[in-house]
Amino acid sequence: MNTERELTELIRRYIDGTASAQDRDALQQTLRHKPSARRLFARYANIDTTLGGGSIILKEPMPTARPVRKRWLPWHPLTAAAAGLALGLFSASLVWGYVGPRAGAASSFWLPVVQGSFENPALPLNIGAAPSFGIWSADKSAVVQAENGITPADQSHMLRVIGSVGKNTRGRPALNGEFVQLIDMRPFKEQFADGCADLKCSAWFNAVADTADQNYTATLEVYAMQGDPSAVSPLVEGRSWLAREQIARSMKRIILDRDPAAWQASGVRVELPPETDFVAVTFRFTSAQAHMNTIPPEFPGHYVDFVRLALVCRARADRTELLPLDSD
Amino acid sequence: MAFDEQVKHAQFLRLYVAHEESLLSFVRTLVPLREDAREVMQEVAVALWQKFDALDDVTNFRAWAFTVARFKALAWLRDRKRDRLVFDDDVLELLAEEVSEHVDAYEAERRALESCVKKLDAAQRKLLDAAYAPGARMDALAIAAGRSPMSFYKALHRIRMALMDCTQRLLAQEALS
Repeated sequence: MNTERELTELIRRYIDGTASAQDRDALQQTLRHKPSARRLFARYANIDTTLGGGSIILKEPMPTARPVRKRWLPWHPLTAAAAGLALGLFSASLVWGYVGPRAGAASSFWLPVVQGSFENPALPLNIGAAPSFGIWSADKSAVVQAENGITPADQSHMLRVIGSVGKNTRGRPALNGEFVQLIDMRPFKEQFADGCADLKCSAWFNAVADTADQNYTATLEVYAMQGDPSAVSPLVEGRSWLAREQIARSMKRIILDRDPAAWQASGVRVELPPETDFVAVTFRFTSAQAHMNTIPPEFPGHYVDFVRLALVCRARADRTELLPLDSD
Repeated sequence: MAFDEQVKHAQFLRLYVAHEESLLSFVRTLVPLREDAREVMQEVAVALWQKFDALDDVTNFRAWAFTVARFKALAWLRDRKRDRLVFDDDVLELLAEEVSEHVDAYEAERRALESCVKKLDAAQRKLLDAAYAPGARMDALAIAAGRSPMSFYKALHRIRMALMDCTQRLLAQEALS
């Protein structure tokens, strides 16, 4: 090999998985004899790993629009009623009420996550289907009452995550439990049109104290999306599509503590771009031993409850606030 | 879970999360594909927890964890010796040595990377975001972008190289200041 350019191209092919056996031979011959090549290779791998690791936001944030109106119009009762009607389509038990203007204060209200507390066993879960409005697109799961020594975090039911409907990249049964629900933000456009609103999402996770020394993680993510949600693919590819097309997102992963007596809370917050048309709330469990064939491809007892989504409008004056009296 | 066990587990989690990125980067240097590194890391996490009792001094966690990760990665690679991309043992040992002896330098580069990504233009960031999205396939991305897969790979390579130059400059400036 003659030049550093040739070396970096070989490293690139290796890291991207497109190298031939001859490429590998040439590269390893250089790595064997040149410490500087080993340093370059390790740095390239380090950069690649970090870019793919999710700790750095790669997509450029959408520019935040500044308020263009001179004053805030109060949210007209008719608008609120229309929003309430729209919400009613998603959740029959939502009851909304008004409070008066609270000048100068930040305000917030819950957004309609259907089955956020999984209280209605009769409402279906859309197993393996494309994410859509008003229903959880789900991996294998069931709405259950207290079991396995775990009582619901909220009210009397919770969601038990059983396993995946998909396979991993090596064709083995995947051990992710993945759930997505889309929330239509168009009825609320006026509330975040000036770009001064955040989206807050929270969920509670729990799991049985397993005996196999496995580590499990629970990940909560929220995506702000623009455009038509009918383009979303079925569940397995659906999240990739969301991740690719999102205009803002926030993600948090926690390691489950193996203590079924205590639920673990997780929460994310993201600035909501004014262009947002809909939001995707997604959570998943992942097993650290998902690749091993020694365990059955099912979670021994993993639960989620009390998934909540709120729109938080930062300190603005002279507006009427809509607050939920009850939900789910 | 008994109280002592909970305390131990919490301590382990704190240490593991603090060093997870370093360990992943280390493993990635040894195995051919990004997905392989994630697979090995799952085994590493389990092994670290199982052996955590054997660690006498938690201030040695990082060095100990690197030893476990090295062992796990090499064992994983031994089972895949016939894979066309797996390096010979002596080269793997040299690479493991390179990374484990300069852990702080690689960590500093990861820290600097965030600032450098912010300096990229919108098109470059969009390309990175697409290329590193979960489940992304380069050939499909290239077709969607109306480019050949090779030109897509080359564009990605140029961005990575620009980022590496940027991180080096930033770290050099830090060292001078």
